[in-house]
Amino acid sequence: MSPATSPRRLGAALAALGVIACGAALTIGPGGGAWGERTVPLLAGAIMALGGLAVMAEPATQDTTTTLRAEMRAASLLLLGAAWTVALGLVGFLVATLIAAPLAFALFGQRRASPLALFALLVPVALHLFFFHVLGVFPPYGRLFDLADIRLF
Amino acid sequence: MDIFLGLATVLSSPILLGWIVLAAFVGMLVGAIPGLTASAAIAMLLPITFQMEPLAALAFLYVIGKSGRYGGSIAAILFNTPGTAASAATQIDGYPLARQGKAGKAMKVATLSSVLGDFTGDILLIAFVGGIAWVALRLGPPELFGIYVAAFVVIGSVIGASPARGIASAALGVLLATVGFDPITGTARMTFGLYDLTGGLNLVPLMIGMFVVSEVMDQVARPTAAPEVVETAPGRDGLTWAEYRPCLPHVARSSLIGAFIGMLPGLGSAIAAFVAYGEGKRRARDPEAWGKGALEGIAAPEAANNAVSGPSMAPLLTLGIPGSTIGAILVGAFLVHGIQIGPTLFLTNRDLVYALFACGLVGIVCYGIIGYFGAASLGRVVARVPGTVLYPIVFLLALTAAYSARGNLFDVWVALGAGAVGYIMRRTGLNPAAFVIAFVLTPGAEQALRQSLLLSDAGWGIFAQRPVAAGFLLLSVAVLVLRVRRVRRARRGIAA
Repeated sequence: MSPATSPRRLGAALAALGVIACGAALTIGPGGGAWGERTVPLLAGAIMALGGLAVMAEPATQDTTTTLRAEMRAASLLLLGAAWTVALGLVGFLVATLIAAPLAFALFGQRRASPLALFALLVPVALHLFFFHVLGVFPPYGRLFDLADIRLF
Repeated sequence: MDIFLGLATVLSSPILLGWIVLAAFVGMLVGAIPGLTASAAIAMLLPITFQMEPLAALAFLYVIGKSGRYGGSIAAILFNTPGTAASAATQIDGYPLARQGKAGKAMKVATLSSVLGDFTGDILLIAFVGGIAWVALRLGPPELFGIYVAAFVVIGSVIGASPARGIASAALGVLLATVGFDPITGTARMTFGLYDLTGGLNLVPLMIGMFVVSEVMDQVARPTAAPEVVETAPGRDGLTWAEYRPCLPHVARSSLIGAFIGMLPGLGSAIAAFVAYGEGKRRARDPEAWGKGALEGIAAPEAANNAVSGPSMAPLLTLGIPGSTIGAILVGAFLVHGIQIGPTLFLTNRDLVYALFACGLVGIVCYGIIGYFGAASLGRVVARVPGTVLYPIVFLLALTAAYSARGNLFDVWVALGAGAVGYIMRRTGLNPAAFVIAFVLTPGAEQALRQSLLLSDAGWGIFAQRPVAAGFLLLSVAVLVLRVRRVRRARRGIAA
């Protein structure tokens, strides 16, 4: 994929990150003497800042046909992931995933009701069974509510 | 001799054979899906292998990497969309052949050439890796640091179009690898007071974010069009010996090209495939036919692409330096199972290493058989699975896998953060592969640097006093200068 950001802006962002990293590295305690624990972060920050300056000097390239709408869709997916992660801690895996799965399918353009409902139900149950029963991973427990608390008998 | 013991171990274990067959199938499937890569599959499946025996886990992931490289050719030939970057060269002649109704023939050439290339690479690995480990055992911290710096520079400057962006990406990987308690003094570094960061960023969720979440974000932003399968005309999918025989010199040459490129960190399958294609076309009897559906035009890049697989394990196993993203993820697999990679691996886990090589050989046979008889059918199945179903499942599976690595919600945040960073890197021409490899290399490089400085009376001068270290550092400078000059010349050419 060809770059979609101007080299000046990207280079400036990288250089700024490098400078911040250098600043953060200098706050690391001098426990290991002159060549101690701050050496590598400091070097990496400096190289990143220099890399950023070099990127700034690159000639501008043509932008790809990216649209705000496309970037918003990508950001929405990330937000959905973040909301799912918060929900895991509040209502446990199954409920969080039962809510997130249809939204994820809808975000990818699945509009037909019956496949949407089918996958939205099947995927959380399949993931739950595989990871938490077959592999034996301890599932995230919902602080507010968790299906594991419900005793039918 | 060790390899025969390894083969005996593998062939006498039905469970291990079962994992290898499954891995061969999974790798092919993932490689054939446009947009998904073997790296993504390995990153996602890594937490699942935590419960397995070390050899079965490593073999499963290693064989997925091998068959995933081959699987890319299915999409390249049948859908005109390379499943992996390396199979883009296969597409040049593969798709025209498919359009002529010879998709089955093209697939068979790709399968045979991949198998022969992969075998050549693995046999060279098995023959020489012991020698490389012997040399590696005699290197001290300054020499190792010189090699690490050379790897950083090669990976940063050679992958991608811009050396500056590659080096900056690698520096970001180094920076994030230093987050957490310092391994020597125990001082907190770059944690910003957050308890969850004191243990550092876990490799597994980071890989899942970089390779899977960022790819799924890319797919939701710019969906790949549903592939159209080119059907094979009846009676045209058979391959005769007379048809394949002219491909053999190309396969032999390309296998050696791929094996050589595979040993060099960072270059990888895509470069090997294009170099082999270019060299094959230059030496072809009828270069005009290349690009229009020449069988040799499929054989050359496929042999080179797969010959990379074995030799790329040499720097990983002997020096702990992954030459590819797949290698970087395998580092995580070795560490999870308590196996320290590097020069001492051949002293402490020799049996396991050769059994792993044996698994690789058996894996090649498996994907060869499945591919020869079933690649076209697999392609048709892949074409029927819509992205609107596949990618949401992959997204939820990836995040659940990130959680399951340590049963820790913070790891899901790491995967999401790495996904966002990976997506931005793709969009801005930065290099996720350089970032990840640098992240994996940093602990070893830092240890070598600090040990060297502690050993030294001359400070940084120790690297000038040791000829091997100085040689690698000079090599790094030379690679960087040559690469920058080449890129500048290319830009001037475009401007003119």
